[in-house]
Amino acid sequence: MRARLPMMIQDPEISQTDVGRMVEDWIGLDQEHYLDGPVTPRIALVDLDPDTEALRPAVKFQPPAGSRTLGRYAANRNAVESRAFIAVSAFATVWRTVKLFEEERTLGRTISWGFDAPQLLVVPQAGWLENAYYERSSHSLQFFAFDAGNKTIYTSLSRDIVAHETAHALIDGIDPDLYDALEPQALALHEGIADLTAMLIAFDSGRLTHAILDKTQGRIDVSNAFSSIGEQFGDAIARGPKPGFLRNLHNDAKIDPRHEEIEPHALSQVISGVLYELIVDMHEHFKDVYAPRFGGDRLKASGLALAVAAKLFQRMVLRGIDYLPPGEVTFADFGRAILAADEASPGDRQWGAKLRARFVERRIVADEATLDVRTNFESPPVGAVNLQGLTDSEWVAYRFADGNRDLLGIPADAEFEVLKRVVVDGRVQAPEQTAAQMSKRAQPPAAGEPADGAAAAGDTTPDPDSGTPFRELLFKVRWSQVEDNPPGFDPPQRRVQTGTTLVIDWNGRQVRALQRPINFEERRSARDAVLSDLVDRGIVEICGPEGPAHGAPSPAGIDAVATGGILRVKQTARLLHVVQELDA
Amino acid sequence: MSDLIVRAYDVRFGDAIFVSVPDMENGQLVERTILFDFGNSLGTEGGADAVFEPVIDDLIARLGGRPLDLYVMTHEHLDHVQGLFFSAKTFNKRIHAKQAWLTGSSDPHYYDGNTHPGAKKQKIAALAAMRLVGARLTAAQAASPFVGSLLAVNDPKATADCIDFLRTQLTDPGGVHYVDRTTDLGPLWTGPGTIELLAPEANTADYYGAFKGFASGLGKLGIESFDDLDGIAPTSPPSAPPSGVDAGAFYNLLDVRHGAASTLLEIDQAANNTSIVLLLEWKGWRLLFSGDAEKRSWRMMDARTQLAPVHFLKISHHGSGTGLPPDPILEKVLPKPAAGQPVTRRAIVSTFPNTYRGVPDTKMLTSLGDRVQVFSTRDEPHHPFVELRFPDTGPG
Repeated sequence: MRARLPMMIQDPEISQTDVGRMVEDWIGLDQEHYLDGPVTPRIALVDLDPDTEALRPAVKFQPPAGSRTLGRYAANRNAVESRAFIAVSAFATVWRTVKLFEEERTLGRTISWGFDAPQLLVVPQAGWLENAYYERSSHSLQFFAFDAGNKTIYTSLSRDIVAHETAHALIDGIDPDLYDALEPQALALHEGIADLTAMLIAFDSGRLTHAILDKTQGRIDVSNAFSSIGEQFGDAIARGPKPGFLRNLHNDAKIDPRHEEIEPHALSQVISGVLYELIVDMHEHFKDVYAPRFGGDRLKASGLALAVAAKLFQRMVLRGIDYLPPGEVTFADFGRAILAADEASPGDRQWGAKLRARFVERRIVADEATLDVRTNFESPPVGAVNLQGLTDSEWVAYRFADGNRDLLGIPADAEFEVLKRVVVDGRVQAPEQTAAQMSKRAQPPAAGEPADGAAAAGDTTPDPDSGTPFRELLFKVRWSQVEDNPPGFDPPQRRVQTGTTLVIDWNGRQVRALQRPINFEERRSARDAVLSDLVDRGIVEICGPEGPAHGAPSPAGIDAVATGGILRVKQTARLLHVVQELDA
Repeated sequence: MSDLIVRAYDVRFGDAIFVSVPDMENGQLVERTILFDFGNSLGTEGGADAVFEPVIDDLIARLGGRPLDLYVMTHEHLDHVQGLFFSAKTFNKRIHAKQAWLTGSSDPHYYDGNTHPGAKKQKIAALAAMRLVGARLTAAQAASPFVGSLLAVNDPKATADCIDFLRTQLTDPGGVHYVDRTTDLGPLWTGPGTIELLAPEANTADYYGAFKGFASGLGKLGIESFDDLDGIAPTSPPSAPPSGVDAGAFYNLLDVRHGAASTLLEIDQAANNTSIVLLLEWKGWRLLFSGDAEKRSWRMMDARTQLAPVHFLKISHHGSGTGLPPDPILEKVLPKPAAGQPVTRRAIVSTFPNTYRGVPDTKMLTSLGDRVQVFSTRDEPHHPFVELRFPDTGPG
């Protein structure tokens, strides 16, 4: 059964001023069950009253009936601040973001949540705060509301914010170590990718894309509604002049090696900024490519160019998360992971070269050679192993890892853990194939098209026959290392995680990539800085294995437990919950 | 020769710090007296009220019928304010003071009008959160007595009675002053020595951190008045999860959202950080009385004042890890002596075990030994106080 789901085109302000309409429809994919709520096996709305915490009545599902072939929820699309619409729109946006990650041409599989349970809970009106967050421990996305002047801002009505928080949940499912990292760039990566996901979900709306490109004369290399994340929210919480965004991807933030930023939101702008430049490069390129189809008009070609660039960018960047090694990683590791995923697949190589240059310009790496990766090479043990056994059997997996410590970089004396193996069934589309599929959507909407017409559905699932299929196995092994804390720190040492990702081409039985962090030891001082900051600001309280002082959890919910003189810090990604200090 | 005396009474988990400063008046040696706080926690052995009687007896005897020159209420927590009220009510024993300095935010008019809008918003949110999580916290006491202590210390109603007593019965109406770092102390303290307030800031909103408890977001939209708080009832969980939602995950969600204990801890820390932190300088000695200031307040002091080494520190918050300044600030206040030089600086901690989990942090207190001699009200459990002397010859 399929369902028509109304969702916000952008936050209410942008939708109204830039697009001229609030809502578009998205056709949710086949599900065995749609329950009142909305509730499906993987995503469930839990509509708690923000004042009393009482569970509010679920929004009723109306199955297909008569000539209506799509199911729908009983939400009034003309009342976007109604409880029912907020619930359905949040649900649709979460789901659409999930599907964007899971598309065959992107990650090519169903992603398991980071909390080891099947259902992500979504609380659309979690309370009254200037915030929204993903929280692993409660398996939930929580969207708050707040008053700003004479209006109420519902974060769950912001497409950007819902997509951003859903991305945190998805990233946690793909690489849970980022959630527990001490490395400031790892936390910033979580945030940066979430911001870029918000941008991709904006690109996924044909209506929004056309409206914004109209406004910018077909350019995205200027600040615009794509590069601005959380516009209404950013303006509402601003204490001074309204900036027009919470964060701007169109920025020139660089790494300052003399004084590296450790606040994850601020630092994230370096990685989101450098990757935004990449999509700008792609967009300009495809405008040139497609302009002849539009009589040489680059402005008219800008919609199709953006649709193709977005899908290419989406595949490159999100597959980079798959290729990251486990544990503490940096922007440079992510850059290498993107390049490895890209170079291991068929396609042109021009974007890798651009990315290398941009990473150097932003001082993420000193030179382009640092980002060099080796892909698609033979390895006798990989050629010999039974891949199905390696996937299904813990015994085979551990035996393989133990017998190939040199290949995987596992220290001889390290106890290691083989993570759950992941099989990717993906598809690489050439730009032309993407263009063929996107070209219908890339046309401006026809005059007189009905407000809730199916043309606005935005279902861009690739044609099953389009592109080159591939299957790869992600084999990840992780171990911990003990390193010194800053001088005078108690306890004197801490345990940090590191590891290796081995990507195997299932059919070719080759190594697609073998990824290890490149500067793990050198980054100890950055991890020191984060730890000292957390302790000095009172955000974490270090406790023994018996638990924190006062009988209460750490104020920020970040665990810092010392056992036998060695500290282990977890759930540092809760730092990302904070948008800004109130009245700071 | 006469000494400045710091006497920390053993009130179990609380503070009662008496200071006697020698002075000359009409050619006669007299003493000026200051009492920092008097109270202890409820809920556990650390809050036994019987300990108040010998302390009030000793204070009355020590004062010999004279009033205190100054009473300082460092902050609005029961373990700092309960003693004088309780002694008057239960034992009918009381002392008087020429002046009482109370934290600026305890002024009944502090939140009036639009003087401190940020602080008012935060305070209302905190009180709303207290009410909303009240039922769960009360239930949690059975599982953890430490939660009971936190609840008792932060009980706004019980604390209000004690502070009312300080306002109305400890001193004459003109003797009550609500102070913060910006208060002009010139007319209030004319000597001996000098007094400087390093904290709190006038705007207490600054003491609420970035991490608001989940429950603090559950307050009703639009509550702008303390009176409206009465409309808030403690919440109770819904009876059943929605159809199709895993029940375990649903109830877990509610539990995590409430984060009752962590919300209370945030409220507790914010109040601690409103502590009056007072620097007394006399004959070259520098003595710092820090109430229950926690790291956030220390950082703000460091940013807004010139912190310099002191000869004496009243250790914050009963020896908790969070009451100790961050290392760089600690080095400014209590620098380690040069290699081979003896440790001459001194500190007192007023504490009692098993009241707040992990407080006192004995490991942390021990680690201070290389920069300061630490004296505790628990050093001699059957002795009613620990006392340090500072001769008028100065530190030399």
